[in-house]
Amino acid sequence: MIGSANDMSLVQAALAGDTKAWDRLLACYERPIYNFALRTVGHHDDALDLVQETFLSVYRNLHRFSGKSSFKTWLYTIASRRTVDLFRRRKPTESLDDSDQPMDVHLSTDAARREESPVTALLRHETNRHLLRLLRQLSDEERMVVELKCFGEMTFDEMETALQISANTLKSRFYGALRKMKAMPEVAHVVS
Amino acid sequence: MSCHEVRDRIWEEGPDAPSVAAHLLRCEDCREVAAGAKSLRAASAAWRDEPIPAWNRAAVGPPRPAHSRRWATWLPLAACLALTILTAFRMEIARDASGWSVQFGATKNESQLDQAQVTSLIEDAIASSERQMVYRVQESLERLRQDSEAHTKSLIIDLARYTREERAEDMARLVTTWSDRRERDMALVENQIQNLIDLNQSNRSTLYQLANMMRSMPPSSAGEE
Repeated sequence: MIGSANDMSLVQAALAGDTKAWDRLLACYERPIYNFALRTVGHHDDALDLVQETFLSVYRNLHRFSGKSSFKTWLYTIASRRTVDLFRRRKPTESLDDSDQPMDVHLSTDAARREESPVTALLRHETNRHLLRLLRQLSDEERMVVELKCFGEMTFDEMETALQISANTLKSRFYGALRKMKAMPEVAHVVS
Repeated sequence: MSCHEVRDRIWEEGPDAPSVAAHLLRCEDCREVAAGAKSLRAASAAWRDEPIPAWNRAAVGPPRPAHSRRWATWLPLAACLALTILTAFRMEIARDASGWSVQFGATKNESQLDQAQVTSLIEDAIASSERQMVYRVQESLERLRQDSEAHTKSLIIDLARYTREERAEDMARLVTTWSDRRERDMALVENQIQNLIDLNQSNRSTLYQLANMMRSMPPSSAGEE
């Protein structure tokens, strides 16, 4: 169960060295963080690296988590900072165009696990790939704001704290991204 | 209400909220933002979370405690040591009618025989272990091959079914379209044939009238004309 009170008790137990509590925190949040990373960086391998870096950072800073915000918000704050670091590290020539192949590898991994039928996995994969293509047309900064606002459900004030960028700038980026999306023909494809 | 306030409300309350409707009618920029918000909400709802692949969870988090059954790690070593001692001291444990007896050492011939037997036993054990290992590997490979085959077959069947259903729908649509078109064409041809028949009828009646007129005219006036 993902909940603030429950998270707080799990955090305290993990700080005391309880590996089961830490494993439960990982089990709750590793998939949302992986999907967050996949949408923002658009690449399967980079997304997995981000998951590892995020949770490493979370564990190292776990004693600083005061519970003022929810654990989820705190986690997304760390994940977004690690993503911004990755954007800075990434060479300007590197693009997200090669995201098709890693997603294909991932699809076969899913099928092997038999969590769902191959057709369902294929349809999910195709839908997600269209959304990734759509997000790829936004700049890194715009994609990050759209991700945190739309999928992370964060307020602009929370995003201001997380990214250390003024709320007005974030709003400007977000509404700029919305105007871009209005003009994109791919949106109709994703929605259909 | 300013554009900034309206845009905040567009996202929070939805692009169709009554509080922003009046502003959207007269502001092109905010209309674009509203359309984008609608698209983004719909597109994000279409996203289905990808399952996370295996990753190195042990690399993060508190240190894992050592395995509680630590003695199990040392058990093979202890057994080896015991066997070595038993062999080195040529110890023999026996039981007869008078009770248990422990004997150290052996005659030279017996000792040589024992060593040959031990060597043979060790070789047998190694060969047996190798055979078992090969058998297990082959069994695993076979299981993997069967799993893979079954999975591929299932994927092909699912895809074929999916494609078949889609093609059947397309064919049904095509047949309906062709039937409609054929009926329309037939009606058109019938209509045109009827028109030709009517025209033919009309021509014939005109010719009859003309012939009657010619017949009723006096021969002189006909010659003058």
